[in-house]
Amino acid sequence: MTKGRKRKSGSIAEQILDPATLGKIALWLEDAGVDSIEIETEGGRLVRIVAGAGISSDGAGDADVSVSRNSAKPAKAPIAGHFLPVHPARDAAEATIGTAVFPEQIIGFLRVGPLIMPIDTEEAGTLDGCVVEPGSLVGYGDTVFLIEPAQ
Amino acid sequence: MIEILQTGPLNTVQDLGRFGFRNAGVTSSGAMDWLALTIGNLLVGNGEGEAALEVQTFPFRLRFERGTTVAITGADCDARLDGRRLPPWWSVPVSTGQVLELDAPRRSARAYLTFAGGIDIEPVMGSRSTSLRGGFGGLDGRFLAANDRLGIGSAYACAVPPGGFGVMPPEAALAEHFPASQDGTLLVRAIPAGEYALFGAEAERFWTQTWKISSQSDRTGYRLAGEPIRLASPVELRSHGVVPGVVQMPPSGEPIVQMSDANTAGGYPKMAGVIDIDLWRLGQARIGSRIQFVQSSVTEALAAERAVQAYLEDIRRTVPMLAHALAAMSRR
Amino acid sequence: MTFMQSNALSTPASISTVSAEEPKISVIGTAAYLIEAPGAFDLPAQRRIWALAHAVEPWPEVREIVPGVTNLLVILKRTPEEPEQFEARLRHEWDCARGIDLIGKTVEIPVTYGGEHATDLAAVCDFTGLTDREVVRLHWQGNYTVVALGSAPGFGYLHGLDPRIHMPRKTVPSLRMLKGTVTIGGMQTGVSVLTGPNGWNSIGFAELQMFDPMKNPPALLAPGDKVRFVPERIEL
Repeated sequence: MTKGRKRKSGSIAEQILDPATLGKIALWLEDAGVDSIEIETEGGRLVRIVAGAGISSDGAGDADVSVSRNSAKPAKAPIAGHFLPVHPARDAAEATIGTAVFPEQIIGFLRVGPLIMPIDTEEAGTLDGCVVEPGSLVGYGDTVFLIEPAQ
Repeated sequence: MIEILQTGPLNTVQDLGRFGFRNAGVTSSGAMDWLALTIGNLLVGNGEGEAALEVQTFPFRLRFERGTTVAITGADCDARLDGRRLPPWWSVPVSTGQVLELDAPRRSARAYLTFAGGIDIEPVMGSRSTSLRGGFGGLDGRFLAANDRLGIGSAYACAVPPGGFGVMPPEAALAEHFPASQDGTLLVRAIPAGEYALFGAEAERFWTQTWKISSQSDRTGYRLAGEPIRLASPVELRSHGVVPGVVQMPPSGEPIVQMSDANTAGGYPKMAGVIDIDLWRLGQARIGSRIQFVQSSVTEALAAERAVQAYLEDIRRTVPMLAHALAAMSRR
Repeated sequence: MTFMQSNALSTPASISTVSAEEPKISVIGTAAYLIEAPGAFDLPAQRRIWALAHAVEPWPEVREIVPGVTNLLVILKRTPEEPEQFEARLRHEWDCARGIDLIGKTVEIPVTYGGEHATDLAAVCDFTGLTDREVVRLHWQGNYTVVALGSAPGFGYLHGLDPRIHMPRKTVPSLRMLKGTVTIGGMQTGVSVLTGPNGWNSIGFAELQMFDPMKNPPALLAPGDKVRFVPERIEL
C-alpha cells in the first residue's frame, strides 16, 4: 500500500478525539490516492489513519480482520483508544469467547485517556473471537470482536 | 423524581460534607468515599459537590420517574438497568420507568449514585449530607426507605453514548501512588499523633500487626480488633476537637478510627492520624476485612494528593471533550 | 451559602497576662493541628485559647477551628506544603496571644431537678455525702461559663461546677438518656442535646431547645456565654 509520510502530532487527544478532523483526513487520503497515514505522537505511538475506515493502531488488527470468516459480523471500536478486554475494576471479561451475546451488550472497553468507552454488539449471536491485543491502540471503526450472528 | 423500590437500612443522601459547624458539635458527615462521589458527579456533568445516594446495604433498587443520566461509582455492585448489566464506574442515560438494581459488592463497601442535576433537597447548614445522629440534613435526617421519592435537579442533556461510558477506577489509575499488599490487607498510611510517645516500645505493634474491622463499625467510626495495646496507666485527656481519620486508643487497647460521622470531640489518647488522602480508601473498607497501618509522612501524602488532583483534572478536561466528539460523530 | 457558627467567638472585653510554659502542638493526619495550653484547666488558659482561636480563624488556609477544653484544633483546607513553618506560625501566635474574655450572653435554663429523669441523683448523693437538696442547690447556685461546644450538636461544656458536687463519669453509660437531661461529668456540667448513650450523671431535666439546625447560628450556646440554671421545679 502507499503510505503518506510521517508527521509529528501536537496532541494525541485532539487528533484521536476529534472525528471531524479524522473524517477530513480520511477524505483527503482518498482524494490523494493514499491508503493510510501514520502519525507519530509524543509518546512514540503510531496512529494509522486508513482511507475510508478511520484510524487504526500499530497492532496486528488489519491482518486479523482479513482472515475473518465471511459470516462473522464485526464489533467495532466506537472511538480510538487502547483496548481493554476486561474492565480494570473486574476480574473477568463481560463476555467470553464462544458464549452468546445479545444486542447492545457491552463486550469490551477502550481506554481514552482517563475515560473508558464501551464496545458493544449490534445484534444477537455468539462471540466468535477477539482480533486485537489487550492494551493496543485501536482506531475509530476498527474491528475488535467478531460475532457469529444468531440464525 | 426517583423512587426507592427496595433498600436496606443506613443508605443515605450525602455530599462532600458540612463544614463550619464542627465548633458547635456538628460532625461534617459527607460521603465515606469522597473521591467516588466527586467522580460520579463529573461523569454526569455536575458540580463536584452535588449530593448522591450512598448505598452500603443491599439489595437496592430504584425507578426513574423521568429521563436523566445516572453514574454508579465506588464499589462494584453488579449494577443492572432493566436487567442489562452495567460496568462499575459508569455513567449511562436512563429513561422514564427504568429500574436500576444494585447487589452486594464482593469488594469495597459503598456505591454512590449520582444524577445529572443532583438531588433536589434543601441544604441544611450549607450541606445536603444526612446527619443520622443529629437527625437533620438529607432526607429529613434519616436513612432511605422503600417508597421514598426524591427530586432530581433538571440538567441540560449532556451527550452520553447510549451504552454509557466510564472512567478508569482510581484504584487502577492511581495504583502507583497507593500502597498495596500481597494478601489483600488494606494498607492505610498514618502519621503518629499527640499521645503516640506515651505508648513507648508498645507503639511498634500498632504498625506491625494487622487489625480486623469489627462488626461494631459504621459511618461514625471503625472499631479494630487485634492484640490490644494498653497504656501502663489510663490517660484521660481534656476534651478536644477530632477529625475523621484520628486513631484513638480507648482503655480496652483496641483502636477506634473515627470516620465521616466522627464525634467532633474526644478524650482518648491518640495513637495516629490517617493521612487525609487515604481516607477514601479506608471509607471503602468492609466489616471483617483487615487493615495495616503504615507510617507515612507529609511529603508522601502531598505526592499522593497531587496525583489524585491530576487524575481528577484529567477527567474534568476529558469528559467535555468526549461529549463534544460524540456530538460531532452523531452529526456525520 | 456559607454561614458559620464560628462568629460566635465575639469581641474581647479584657486582656490578661500570659503563662511562660510552652503549649503542646500535635497533628491528626495531615491537615489538622491540635494546640494544647500548658497548665491546669482554668479560665485563664481557656481565655488564651479563645484569643488564639480569634487570631487563627481568619487565616486563609483555615477551614475550621474547634476550641476545646484548654485546647484548639485548627483544621486546614489542605495539607500544608511546609508543615514546620505552619507549626511555627501557630507557636508564634500562641506566644503573642493574651487571654481574652468573651462578651457572651447570659442564658437562663429552667430545670426540673429530681423526678423521673434524675436517675443518678442518688448516686451523686452517695458519692458526695450530700443530701439531694444540697446537690440541687449547689448546682443551681453555680455561675457557669460555656468553655466549648462539642461532642454533639450544640452541647456546651460548662465550667464553674462547685467542687463539692464533682462526680466521675459512669463506668457503664445509660443507653438511652433523653435529650434535655441535666448532667454532671467530672468537674463539668451540661444539658444533653441528643437522646442516646451517655456516661454523665443525670440530676434533672430541661425543656429548652439547645440546637436548631434551621436557625443561624444553630446552637443556642457559644463559648464565653454565661449560664444559670433556674430551678423551675424540684421533685425530691
